Amino acid sequence: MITISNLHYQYGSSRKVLTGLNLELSAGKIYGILGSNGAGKSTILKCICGLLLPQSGSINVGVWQAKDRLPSFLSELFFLPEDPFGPDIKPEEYGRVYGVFYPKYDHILFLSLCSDFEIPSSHRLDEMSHGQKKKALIAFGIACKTKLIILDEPTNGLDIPSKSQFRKIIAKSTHSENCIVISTHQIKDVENLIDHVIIVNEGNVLFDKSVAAISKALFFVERPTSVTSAPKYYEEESIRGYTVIEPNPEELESKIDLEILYKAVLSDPKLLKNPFN
Amino acid sequence: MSSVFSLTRFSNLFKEQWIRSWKSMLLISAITAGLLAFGLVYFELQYNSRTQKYNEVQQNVFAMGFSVIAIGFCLYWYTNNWYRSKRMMMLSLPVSAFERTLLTFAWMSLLFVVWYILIFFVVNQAISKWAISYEYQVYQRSPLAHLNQYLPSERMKFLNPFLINSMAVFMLLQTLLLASLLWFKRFVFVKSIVVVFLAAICYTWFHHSFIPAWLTPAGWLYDDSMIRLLKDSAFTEYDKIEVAPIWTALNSYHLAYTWVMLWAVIYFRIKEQEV
Repeated sequence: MITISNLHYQYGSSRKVLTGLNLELSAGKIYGILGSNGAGKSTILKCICGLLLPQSGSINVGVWQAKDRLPSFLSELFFLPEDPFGPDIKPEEYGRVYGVFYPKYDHILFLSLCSDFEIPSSHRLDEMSHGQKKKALIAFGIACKTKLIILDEPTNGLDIPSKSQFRKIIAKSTHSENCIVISTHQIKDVENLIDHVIIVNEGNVLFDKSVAAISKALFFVERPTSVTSAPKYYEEESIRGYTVIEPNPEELESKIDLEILYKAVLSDPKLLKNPFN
Repeated sequence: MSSVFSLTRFSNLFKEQWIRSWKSMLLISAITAGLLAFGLVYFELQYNSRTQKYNEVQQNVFAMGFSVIAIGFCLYWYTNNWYRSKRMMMLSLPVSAFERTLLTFAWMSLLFVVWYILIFFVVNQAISKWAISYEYQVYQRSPLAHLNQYLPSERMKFLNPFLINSMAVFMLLQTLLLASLLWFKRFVFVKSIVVVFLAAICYTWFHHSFIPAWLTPAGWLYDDSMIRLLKDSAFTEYDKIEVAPIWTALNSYHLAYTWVMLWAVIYFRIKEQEV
């Protein structure tokens, strides 16, 4: 669905953010783009949406080139920025005014999602808290039923019940024809949601694997003590002892600890290449 | 559906803009009306020693007000659509660059002019009644001082070469300001204001000093008015003198060309705008 080839982007004349990035995203999946602050996550997302025009390389989204920003492309895309703008209108009116731009927009679904998120219908969007505004816009984005939903730090500012509601709603909205891309540095919030992990650092993709592949190749386990005799890829001290990433030759099931995976990849990007070969 | 222009998309975009702006527009209208009323009353009182002054006051306040409000309106438009998070929303809306430009043109060059003339007309209706009776009172208080001078002032006619010329020049400056606001990426407001200020100085110098002194043939009058085709009583005395036609034509056409060129710049800048 999305093919990014040799993407270069720099801010101003010197600040290079993306240097020859290649990425392929397909429909029917929820992608999690993980990375530290300044890693280039938001830049990638903005390039996919056509909000930033890369210096070189190409981004194909379905039949469209992102940089062309054609209305037909934009009407199949919903982008939630990290700090979204909310006009001085109530959610119901927002849906009516902005929904007309999206051919598959479902106003009833929008109102029902707003109620699930407990968004006050009498408040104007510009009066809402950051979290409430974000929830309203996430509800709107889902109701637009676009092929591509891109969420930049969607859980920032959301309270605990809303985060769980967010996960439920996103999981429910995924189907074989759409693709959801979530960028975050709050890994725990999306741990059970995403089915493909992309880790970026300094504008490069360090890790790009599906959750199924990770689960098959790696075994995440808590050990009371550091084990030196058994093979392991990565180990970190935790409250209960040590969290370890071990090879998984028997393909045993374990709960993927994204935080540990992320740290392992960042500590040495080559470390986890072998198990997937 | 066309990827360049669709009437449905454009009307949705226009509606979106209207819903987002009408409250601010009401506030701006009230401020504009207040400023115009203040200007009309203040300048009328300033010139109270002479009669018939309101005829000139109206024109001057209209032109001055137009320049200030046109610049203010442009800054408002930019902050309401292209500043920070609003820029992201504007660029994410499923409409074409042409539709965004057309919306900007419709608001800045059509709606704004109609809106300003309407506000001025309403304010002037009210103030002119007072001004005319005030001038009459001044005349009655000292008729000898104004002997044979008193003729009641009239309400301004909007189809008047001075006003059309002023509006054309100030709209050009407004368009230049918008193009600059979209052109620069850093220190947008400061740089744009400087560009407009410099352009205004250059324009004034070129038309009021350079052309009359260096390029107008001896015995000819250089007329810097853009609209020479509109015959008006204001030009009666000018018509007695021959107007250098080449420079008059140049003035009209180069203003028009520059304006079209600036809108082309605006279109391409909107097309390649980033967040």
